[in-house]
Amino acid sequence: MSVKGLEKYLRQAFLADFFSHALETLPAGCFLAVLDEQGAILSSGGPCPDDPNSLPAEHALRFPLSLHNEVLGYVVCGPANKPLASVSGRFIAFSLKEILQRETLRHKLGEETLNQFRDQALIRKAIENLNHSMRLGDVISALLGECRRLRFSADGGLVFLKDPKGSEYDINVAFGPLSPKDLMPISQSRLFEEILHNSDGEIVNDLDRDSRWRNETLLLGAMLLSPLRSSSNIMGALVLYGLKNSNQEERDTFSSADLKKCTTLTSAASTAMSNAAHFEQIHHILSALMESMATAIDARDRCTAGHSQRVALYALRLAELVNADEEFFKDVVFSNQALDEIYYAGLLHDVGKIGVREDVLAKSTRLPRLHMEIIGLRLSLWGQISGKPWQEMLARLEKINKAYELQPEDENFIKNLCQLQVAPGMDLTVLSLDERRQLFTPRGNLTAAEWREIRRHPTESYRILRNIPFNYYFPNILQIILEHHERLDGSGYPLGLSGKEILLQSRILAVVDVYDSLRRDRHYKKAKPQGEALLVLHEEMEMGRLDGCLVELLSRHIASVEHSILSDMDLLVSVDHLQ
Amino acid sequence: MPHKVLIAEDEIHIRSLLEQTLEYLEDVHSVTILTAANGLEALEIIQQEHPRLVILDIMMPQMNGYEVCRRIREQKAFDDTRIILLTAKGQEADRKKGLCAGAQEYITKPFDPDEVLALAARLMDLPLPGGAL
Repeated sequence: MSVKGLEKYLRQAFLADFFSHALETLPAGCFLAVLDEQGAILSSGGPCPDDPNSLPAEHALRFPLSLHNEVLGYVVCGPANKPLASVSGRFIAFSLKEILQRETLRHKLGEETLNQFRDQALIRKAIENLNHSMRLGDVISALLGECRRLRFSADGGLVFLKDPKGSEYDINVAFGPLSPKDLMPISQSRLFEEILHNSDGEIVNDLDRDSRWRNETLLLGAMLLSPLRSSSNIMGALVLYGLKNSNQEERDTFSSADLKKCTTLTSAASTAMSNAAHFEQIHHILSALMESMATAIDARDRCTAGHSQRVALYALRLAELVNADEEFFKDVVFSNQALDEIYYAGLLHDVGKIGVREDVLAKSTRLPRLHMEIIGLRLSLWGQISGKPWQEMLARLEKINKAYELQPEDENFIKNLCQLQVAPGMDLTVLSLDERRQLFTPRGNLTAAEWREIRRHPTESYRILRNIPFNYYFPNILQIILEHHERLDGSGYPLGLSGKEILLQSRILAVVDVYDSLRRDRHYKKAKPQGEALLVLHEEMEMGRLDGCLVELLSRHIASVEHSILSDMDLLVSVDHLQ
Repeated sequence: MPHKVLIAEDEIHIRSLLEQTLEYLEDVHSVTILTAANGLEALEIIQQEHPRLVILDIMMPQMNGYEVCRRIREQKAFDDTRIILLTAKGQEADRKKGLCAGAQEYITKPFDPDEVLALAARLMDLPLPGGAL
């Protein structure tokens, strides 16, 4: 137990010092003592008898030491018959009484100041903890965390948040013995409504006697309610509660100091909550913008619809696999922010295709349809003039025009057509040299010049996105996007980087970009089944182009990864549809 | 033997508030509270009284807290002396400097009384009621 009364304010060390000076004003052989209200010695000076309290009045003078009319102890001075004992004794007693009063006052002021210090420290810590949270959920858990740190005598607590669209209150988090279902009715009570609208918070230590409370939640005995407000908006409330009869001592569950602390906490939390709400709103708008941008790019070409979205999801899953992996990537851990960065890099990696000519981008044949029609006219003219069958030749040419790979006998066929004059003596062949060059593309349907056009897209993406100030949140996103067509053996573009020069994130993006392209129809080739697509990835890996560990990791988990992504996408589609 | 604590702080009201904060240790664990109003006085008291714990304000006349700290740490006899440095809010940059000079802990003014009491008790291996904090 801590020391009370006299001893607290008239300290031993001080009294010893005081007595040695005071005794100098008295004749030799005098003694002084301070006794508590029971008469026991607290401190003495001079030849003090063991039990000065029992001395008769003619042997010792007793002066009461009182504070606010309450006697806390006595000053004893003796022997009474010594000269000056009475006068000095009275003065000494008066002095000690004054000192006692001033010390008491000093202590009270000190306690008040220390309480202010406590409050300031509380605010400082609460603001520090609350402002660290940029998400609404984190702010609320930090708020409840602070409540628990302060050890209020509550049995439980919860935070109600107002549904932004309606006027209902939902329980966001709760701790303690009662379930959210039991606690929900609190928000329907008149008590809750009135406190939220009309005050800065209130404590009700006896709910049974409050007319605004109709036992909405049984078992509740006491409640502390502190609203969460931003300027004029009511966002919700912090509620701490005490159960009925849980308090054996019949002591109030909550004190006004508790309410004061809670008010401090909720006001700090309110600010943090509006900040978080703004931040989440901005984040939401930004990601919606990025998704729209990706959708717009993909929409230019029917074959790539949804490609960016899928690549983003694949890249995210593969990065998560890297995080979980202990075999190849033991030391690699992507933070949540880094994972977001990879996702958005996936979403935006093809943005540069906006700068690629549409006829190149969506080219499905070696020669465009109109061009083929003109060749068809020339061929039919040649047929009519020469009287030879031409329809079969046109059909063969159209087949070549759509083919992914050129066969050796096709080359001869094309060469012949180039020498075929439409009419004898006329300076016009069925196929021009330029047309021959376009048909001669060995693989796919793009000429070298068109390939150069396509290959500009990573640099274009970089150029377009460069002006977005990603740097704080996503410091690597531009590099990841720029490098997504780089290959480990240096055969990629645009920089021809190799090996470790390429960011791991870029290598992830490269693997999943290739995989998704293989799994979908392209203009010049059909979609491959899962197993075949993986085989191609393995070939690329054996040629030293794609990261083998990443290909291996993706192969191991492809079934679940692909399934989850496709169901995610279906979900997205259905949501779009509803809106 | 009961422990001693030295509070070295030139501002009398802060010193008094620190004394009041540590009263619990005085009352319950018979810890003796000593005070000094400047760095030199603090160093003298430390030499004479060997306090277990010293709460040192950094900005003090005659000798600042860092210097007192360094002087204590130069002597092997004071290896066991625990030191808490005290500085004004907003000078947290001093923290590292203080810890380098050999202090165990560092608190800012206005201090949190509960935190100071808990720190002091911990550094002196004394229990607090209910294991608060």
